[in-house]
Amino acid sequence: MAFASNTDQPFLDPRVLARLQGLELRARRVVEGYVAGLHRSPFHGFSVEFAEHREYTPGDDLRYVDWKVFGKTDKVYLKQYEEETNLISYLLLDVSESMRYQSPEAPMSKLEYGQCVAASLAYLVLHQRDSVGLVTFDNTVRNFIRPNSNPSQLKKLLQTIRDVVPDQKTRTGPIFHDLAERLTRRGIVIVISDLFDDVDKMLTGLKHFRHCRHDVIVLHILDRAEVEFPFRQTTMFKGFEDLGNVLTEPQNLRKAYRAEVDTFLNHVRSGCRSQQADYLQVYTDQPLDLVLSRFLATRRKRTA
Amino acid sequence: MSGVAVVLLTKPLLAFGFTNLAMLGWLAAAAAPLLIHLWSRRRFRQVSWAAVEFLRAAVRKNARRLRLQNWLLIALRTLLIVLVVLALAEPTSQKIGQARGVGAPTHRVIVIDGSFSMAFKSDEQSLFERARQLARELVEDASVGDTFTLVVMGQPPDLVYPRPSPDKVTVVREISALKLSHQGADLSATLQMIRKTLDGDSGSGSGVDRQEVYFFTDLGRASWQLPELTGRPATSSGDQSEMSSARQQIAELSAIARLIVVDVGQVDMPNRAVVRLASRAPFSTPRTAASLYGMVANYSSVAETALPVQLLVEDVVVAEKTVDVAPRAEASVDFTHRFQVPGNHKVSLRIAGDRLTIDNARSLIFPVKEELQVLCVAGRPGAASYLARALNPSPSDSAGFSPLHPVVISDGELVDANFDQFDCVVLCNVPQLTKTEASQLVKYLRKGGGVIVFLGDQVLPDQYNQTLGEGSATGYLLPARLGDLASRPSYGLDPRDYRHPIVEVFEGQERAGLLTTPVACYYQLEIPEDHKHAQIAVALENGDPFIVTAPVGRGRSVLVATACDLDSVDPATGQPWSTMPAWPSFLPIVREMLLYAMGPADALGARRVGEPIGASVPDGAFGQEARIERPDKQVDAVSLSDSPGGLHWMYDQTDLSEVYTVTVYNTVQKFALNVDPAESDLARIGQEELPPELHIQKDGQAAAASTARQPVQIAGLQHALLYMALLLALLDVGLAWSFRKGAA
Repeated sequence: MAFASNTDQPFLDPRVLARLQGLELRARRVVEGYVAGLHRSPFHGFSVEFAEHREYTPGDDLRYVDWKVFGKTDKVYLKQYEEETNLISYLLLDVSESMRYQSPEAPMSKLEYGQCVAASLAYLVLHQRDSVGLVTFDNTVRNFIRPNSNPSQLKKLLQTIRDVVPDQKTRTGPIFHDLAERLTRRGIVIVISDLFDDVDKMLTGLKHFRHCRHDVIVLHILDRAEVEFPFRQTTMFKGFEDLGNVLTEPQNLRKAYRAEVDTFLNHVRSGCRSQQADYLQVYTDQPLDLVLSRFLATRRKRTA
Repeated sequence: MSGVAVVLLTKPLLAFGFTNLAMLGWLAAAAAPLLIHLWSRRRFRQVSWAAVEFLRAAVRKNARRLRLQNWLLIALRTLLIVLVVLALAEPTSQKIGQARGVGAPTHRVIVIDGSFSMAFKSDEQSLFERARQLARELVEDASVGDTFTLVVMGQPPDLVYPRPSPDKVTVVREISALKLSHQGADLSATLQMIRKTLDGDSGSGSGVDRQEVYFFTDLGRASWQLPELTGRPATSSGDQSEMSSARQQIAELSAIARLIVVDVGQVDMPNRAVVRLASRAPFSTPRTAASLYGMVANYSSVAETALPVQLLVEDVVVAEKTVDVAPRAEASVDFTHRFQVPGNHKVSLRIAGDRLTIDNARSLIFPVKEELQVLCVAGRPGAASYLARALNPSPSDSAGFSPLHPVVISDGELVDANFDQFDCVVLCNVPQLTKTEASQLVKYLRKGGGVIVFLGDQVLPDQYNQTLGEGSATGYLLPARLGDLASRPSYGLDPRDYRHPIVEVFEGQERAGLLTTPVACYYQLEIPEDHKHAQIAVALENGDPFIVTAPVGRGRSVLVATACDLDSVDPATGQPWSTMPAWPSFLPIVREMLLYAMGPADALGARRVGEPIGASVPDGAFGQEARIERPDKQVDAVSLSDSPGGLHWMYDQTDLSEVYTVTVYNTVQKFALNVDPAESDLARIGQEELPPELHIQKDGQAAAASTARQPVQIAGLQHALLYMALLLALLDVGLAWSFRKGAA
């Protein structure tokens, strides 16, 4: 762990959180409708935003008529507001054995990185008074914590995040399918994984999420060594997840290996894009605060 | 450096070997790349890895290529090591090295022993033939670029080419055409000639780096035993002044060339030879039997018993005897034969054949004369009359027993006389001789004629001494100087123990009257100090010399202190100088003097092979040629040359023994030349006696071990191997880099 200032909450880096200050995770679409269930919260007023006008049709509530426009154009229009929906986000954290990999140059393993990401995002969402849930999975769903906007949710999530035991292979495809059904309320699904699995099955799973009208974000966590393959000496690569071992001279294979990895990455990237899922490839040596802040800012621009 | 040459015969041409065999052990190092590869696969890092699938896929897709690349590099590196090791093991090849001329070009001087002992037949082949064969092989096996000089070691040595020749075919042909002479070998002159050749070659820049001299010889003592060479005195008297030290010459030669002696002789070479043939009398007549004798030598360690010896006249066997000869000894044989026909007959002594046949016969030309012509020069009419009477008492008697035919002339007719017609010239009381006459007489004497000089009262002693004596321009003729005239009666002669051949016959014959010959007046004869060969045949009672003889050239000169005529009178007493002419001993003493003066017949047979032959011819033969038929039936011709002495011819290509028949101006002359008996002794010189600079090789191992066959280091091959190794190293680096680049 690169930062362990708070052993109680080892995945929340004050720096990261500081960076995330002011950022929020927004749902993409404009959700029509009322500001239902207005909370008498002090933050309420901030979050109402004017989105667009709609022509009046008989039966609409007259409280939302934009009189200024009527005054100007003699036409009756209703104001439409961006609903401050209760954002529901689901954090899907891959805790399979492959996430355990950490190259010597990397500050932390993929899992740790994922844990940090999950923790930071959970904090962010809860901070903006939205709900966040957590699913940890490998070849099955290990933990399922229902989304809740209660601040005490954070502690529960952090605990679960911490107590993972990565020792199984990944099976994203079937799990996604399964989860797509189980996640009843529409929300943002954030997949935190290295995606070392059958890509097509995984994409099909994502498709299912999209079919259920979830907003999908894929955070593809990789160790730089896995992509660049910097090994020199003859190495016995002992595989996780019972994949067996390979003894080879890395120098002779580097190009071929990279080609394989590139193929995989392109496949994933293009697949996500075609599913209209946000895709972000992250290396474990990249500073989390930068990564997240940039990502959130980009997404905000896009959704704005 | 282990010098074992391992010959790998893949084909006859590719006879490879390695000089540095131990280096080949390093070939084991060629297994290093493979071993390193295998070992490295055992030593690996272990890494936990998540993305095994990708790795597997990559491996699967490139497995074959990777394997190939791996093995290619291993093979390359192994081959590289093998090449380097091979190069370091110094590969050699016998023929390949020569075919490519890689051995340094060498100038080879081939010296073949031309002494007649090389005609010794050993196993169907004479040593000379064997030497030629080895020489031919040497030339043929030499590498390209070698040059050759051919020298025959003889007396004198013969240089076949003035310049070294690179043309193998011609040299081989010349070797085959070499003929053996019947002479010995002059080692020192041969060494000088070799030296000149080597010096001349190195200066001409012919491009040869090495020089070698090969002596093909039987190492016969007669040729090789020189006093400076062995440190022991030579058996035959060699002229020391003409040779620089042979040992020194060899040392000098070895500095610029490698000297190899190929010994073609055998350890034991038995030989028999006829070493002498002579006649007791200088001539014979058809009425008398000639007495001939010879010597047979046995140069072996086995005694010869009942060895047949034959006497041949004109190559027809006329008599045969057997003789026993002890080992390393000589035995004499006597023959008598009556020649029926006058003339010059070839008389030969022959023994049965052995391994060396050249010396098994000896010849001489034996004159058989009806009569001998004796020129008597009378200084005063009648001075030679007693002499003539003594020579031929009854000339009118056709059955006269004396073959002597005196021809009397006066001293005035001397100038026209042709001495060559006569067997002997007698001067009787001749006052003086002109320079021309004197020189003619000396020439005649030198050629083998005989001169007897009787003094008398007409003689001018100073003139005699000046013209005919010591220090005269024409050369001396008289055995002694004429001193003062002595007038002392002597009533006896002292034969001096009958040692001289002239008085030999008188031994035991006191009644012949020699001892009582009265002499009243005579010249005192003074024999100069340096006249070592002058002999006093007879002395007077008081010790003064009476008859003095001396050899002059081939002939003999006899001087009698008194007169042979009774007209020489002492003025004081009025008595003749000597009554010897009327004494009964006059006849025999004159005859003996004559016989002595004419010389022994073996002077004719003592001509050696190599000596020039010649004779003078009458002036009428001007413009003609002398035709010489050699013993090998070849015919040579020489032209006549003119000199103050008259026309004469000379022939010096006398390298064979036996008879040379010369025809000039309708006269036929025969000359018999014989080999030097010293060469017949086939004793060899031992290796330890020869200088160390000479490398001795025994025939048999000679050809195989000669440098021509010695495996030559192929520098070119070594370099080629190293270049290839270098190329492979570069290739290895390049390939490894490219593989890495392709895979990285």
